[in-house]
Amino acid sequence: MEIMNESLENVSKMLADKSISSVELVKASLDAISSTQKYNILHEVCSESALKSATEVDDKRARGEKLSPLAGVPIVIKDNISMKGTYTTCSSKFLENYKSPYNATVVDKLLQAGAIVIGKANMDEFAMGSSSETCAFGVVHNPRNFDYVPGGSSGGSASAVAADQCFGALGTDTGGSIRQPSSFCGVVGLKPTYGLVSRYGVVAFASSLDQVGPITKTVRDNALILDCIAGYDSNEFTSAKHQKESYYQTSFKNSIKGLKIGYAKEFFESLQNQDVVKSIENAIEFFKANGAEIVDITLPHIKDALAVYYVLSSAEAASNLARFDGIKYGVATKEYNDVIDFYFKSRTQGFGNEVKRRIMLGNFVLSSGYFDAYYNKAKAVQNLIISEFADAFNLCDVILSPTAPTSAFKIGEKVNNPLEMYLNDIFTVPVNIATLPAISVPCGVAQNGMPLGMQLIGNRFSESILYNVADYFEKNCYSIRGVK
Amino acid sequence: MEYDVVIGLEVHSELKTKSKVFCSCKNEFKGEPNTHCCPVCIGLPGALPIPNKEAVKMTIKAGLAVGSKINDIAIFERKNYFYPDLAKAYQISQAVRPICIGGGVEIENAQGQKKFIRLNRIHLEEDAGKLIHNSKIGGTMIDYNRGGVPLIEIVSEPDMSSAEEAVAYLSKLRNILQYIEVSDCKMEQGSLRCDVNISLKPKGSNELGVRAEMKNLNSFRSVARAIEYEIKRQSRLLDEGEQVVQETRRWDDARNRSFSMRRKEDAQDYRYFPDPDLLPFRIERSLVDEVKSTMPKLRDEKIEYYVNELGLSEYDAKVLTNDLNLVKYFDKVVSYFNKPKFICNFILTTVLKKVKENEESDDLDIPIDPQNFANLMQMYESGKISQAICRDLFDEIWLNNADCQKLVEERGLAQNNNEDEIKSMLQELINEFPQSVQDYKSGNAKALSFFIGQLMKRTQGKANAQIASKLIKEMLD
Amino acid sequence: MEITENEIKHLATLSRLNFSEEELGKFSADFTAILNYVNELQKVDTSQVKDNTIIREFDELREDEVKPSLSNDDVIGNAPKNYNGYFVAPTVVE
Repeated sequence: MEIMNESLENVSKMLADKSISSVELVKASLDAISSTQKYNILHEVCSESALKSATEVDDKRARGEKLSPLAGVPIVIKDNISMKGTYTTCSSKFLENYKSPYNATVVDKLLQAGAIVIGKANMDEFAMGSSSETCAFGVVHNPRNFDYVPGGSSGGSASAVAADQCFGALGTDTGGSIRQPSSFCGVVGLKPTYGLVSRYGVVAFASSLDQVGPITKTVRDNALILDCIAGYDSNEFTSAKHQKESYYQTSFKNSIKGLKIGYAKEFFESLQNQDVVKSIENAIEFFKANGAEIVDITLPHIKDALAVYYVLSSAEAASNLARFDGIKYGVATKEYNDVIDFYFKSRTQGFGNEVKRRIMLGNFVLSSGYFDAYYNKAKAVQNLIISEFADAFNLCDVILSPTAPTSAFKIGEKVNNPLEMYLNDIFTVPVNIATLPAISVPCGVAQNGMPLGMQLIGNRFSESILYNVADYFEKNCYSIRGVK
Repeated sequence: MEYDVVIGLEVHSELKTKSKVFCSCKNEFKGEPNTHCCPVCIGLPGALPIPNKEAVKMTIKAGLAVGSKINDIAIFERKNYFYPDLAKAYQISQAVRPICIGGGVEIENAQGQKKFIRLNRIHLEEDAGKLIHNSKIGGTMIDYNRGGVPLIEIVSEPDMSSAEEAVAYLSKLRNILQYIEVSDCKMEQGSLRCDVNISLKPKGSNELGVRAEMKNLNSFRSVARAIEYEIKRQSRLLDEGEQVVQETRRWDDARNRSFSMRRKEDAQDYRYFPDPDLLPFRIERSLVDEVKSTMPKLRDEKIEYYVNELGLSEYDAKVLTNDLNLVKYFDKVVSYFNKPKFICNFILTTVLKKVKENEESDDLDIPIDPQNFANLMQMYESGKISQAICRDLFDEIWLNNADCQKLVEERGLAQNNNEDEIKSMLQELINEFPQSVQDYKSGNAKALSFFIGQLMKRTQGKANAQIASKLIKEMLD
Repeated sequence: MEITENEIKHLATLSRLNFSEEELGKFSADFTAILNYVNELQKVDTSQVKDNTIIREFDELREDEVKPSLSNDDVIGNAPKNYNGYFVAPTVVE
């Protein structure tokens, strides 16, 4: 199964020059999946449809049709992304038997490009969590060490890539759910600018913050997937009418000369983990040595972003998750007194504790008497944070921070303290609050042997700058894959 | 004790767009259940709404027609509550920034007194699905075809003080919405719905009383009756020193009373907040001007046209224009047969009487094809058929819309205008009924109608009654 | 900030969720901790804040066109209970 070690970029070339077939790749992928089953990464493996699609792609290639770089490549998608013919459970008991009758726009785009959806990845229930421990179908284990969490909520997607089950995955990121697990698993994860990638068909957690993005082994692989999934979607009112770019073709300049990297002390004030501190210091030294300029910037209110996040995301989630009432789909309790009792029982049976907590918090901040003090106040602080980032980007091209305050922790370690769990997202959340893009790339290994990640934040729609810097770093400074 | 009655109305009206308000499903809810449904309007996980331009334009149009100010930025919000007809458990509606603000309509009571009823707002929202109770299967069936149909809610200020005013306001509003062609406004079918807020306060007091909200009012008549009932109910409570509870009450038309809809779980906290799936959107002045330019003639202009151009009396023009369906029907018929006064007379007498006999409803539907009706009018006006035959035919084609010209041919119903024939038939009658001749001679004018009646009976109504009356007089005098 | 048990129960009702007494206790503690954290927001001065809300133009709304709907099978396919093309809910009494 050597082939599963390869980057997406390489297997794409091998497929193109026919040194391997898509059917062979799919089979290798299925083997890898079954040999790493104990990590509980995938909820559903689409062997049949994957083999069928692989055969079709191989036939097309044999006929000499022009194909996309993703054609014939096995990809995993997070289980909150709707795909016809598969379950879309959001790792919730509530949706255990739910099969979507329609495709998410990103799925349509992947399928159109000939990508092979090989499986659907476990996650924190409804994407609420930072460790993939709230998954209703068992916790996901970190492929780098079975005892550790893979991060979350896209823990399954990041693990699928880290465990070489596939050549790339889609995750979703509301407060760090792509970047933090990418950091914990030692892979590359991009949270695109809000509106760049369609949310249509992606089960909503917090509509104003959710964004789909790629998780890959390398930065260049990441750009290949973003090329496929990015773009305006007339089915989504929040979709951005941004000029289509080819990130893979245009991002990589192999130079960071003259690049201005913003350093905000606020990101580092509360940072205690020396492994994390050191890895970022190393990165800064590297960037300086290679012609970039480090610029001091200030983001006084990013410390409040997490509180803003919990208010806004919970408010939206409480409303988004109200539709799960057991009538149209999902869990329907068998015994009830009346329709109201039916709602109570179905929802209570179907949702896990973390989801319930967020729904309650959301209804609290929305309820009359508290709405102004919480929801409106959080909106105002969000506006403040957006303005601060805008000011900062007048001074620099990208902003550097750790992805998470620590490396991966052990399974069960934080499960009983929700607030401590929430603090995991302290560096990633401001990015969602400010609707910006950010990428997490591996930047070292901690004392506990688990990977560390560095976050690069860009201005709106500056994904290609992020890709260039991340690629340069990956090629010339640190790569967890040992490829220099 | 004497009380002032304070009434405000919330009127819901379904817009006549082609597609639903936030998805591309057909705006039509007849036919097979759950067939005009998609991920958006049944609230599947992951589905997202996109607002319909036309629905927004129609809302602007409604606003312009009642003098509202059109907001330059409008926001959709979520109104959160659980109910099986609401697929997403929230209704997309508008609260802080609706499309239209303010405005008002002038009403007139029976004594001709005018009163201005202010509007608070008009906002755009989505309709809910339909629930059908089915005891056989022990549950409630849900059809979401109506879910997501565009609905405007027109909220009045509490400016009305009687059932009569409320009905006048509602009827004026319906008239306007029909004229600008944004809604069919059929109360029976639910495309026009009305909730009434009503409270009482001691006469002359400035302090508002506790209000009750009345729902399920399916006709003008039930609006009036529900208000009368509620005034009695509340004043009795207040007279006895009891409190009026703020609540929603359901009107039961059959039992002529209302029932409280309170449920203990109903916390009634809708937790409105801006829908994060629907960003605020801009309404440019140019769009408002564009909508303005498509505005059809309103009722007052139509009345002027009927009086000045078609020569109708002002009273007739007013009655005719009271309902846009009638106006449209009348205009069509006149386009086939250009005798507006003649047609108007027949419509205002025979047709309206028929409508009232046939329906409990306030919705005006004439089942006869306008061309067919025009043909009937032509035959009658030209004297080809008698008035009696015309009425019989009208009754018949009301039921089956059969071709009236064919019926006249097939059955030989054409009027007999031949003076000689009529004369000889009358002579026969004079011979047969000498007593009636005597009666006439001794001054009983009624005897003349007796002869005409007998003549009509023998000719099955085909004899020309005018000619016959003239002849019988000549013959007996 | 203290949140009373009654308030928690009211929120549970709005949320249509049941909690056992034991769950409620644990929940109140978690909830209070989270709220105290979130309450830090009250200290932020937002009096001068600029509104960064994105506003859409009217042109970005949808044209009034009918597109195919889902088949009835797809519409009710996931329903725990359905009958003759309808969804079925527990009896709703008005």
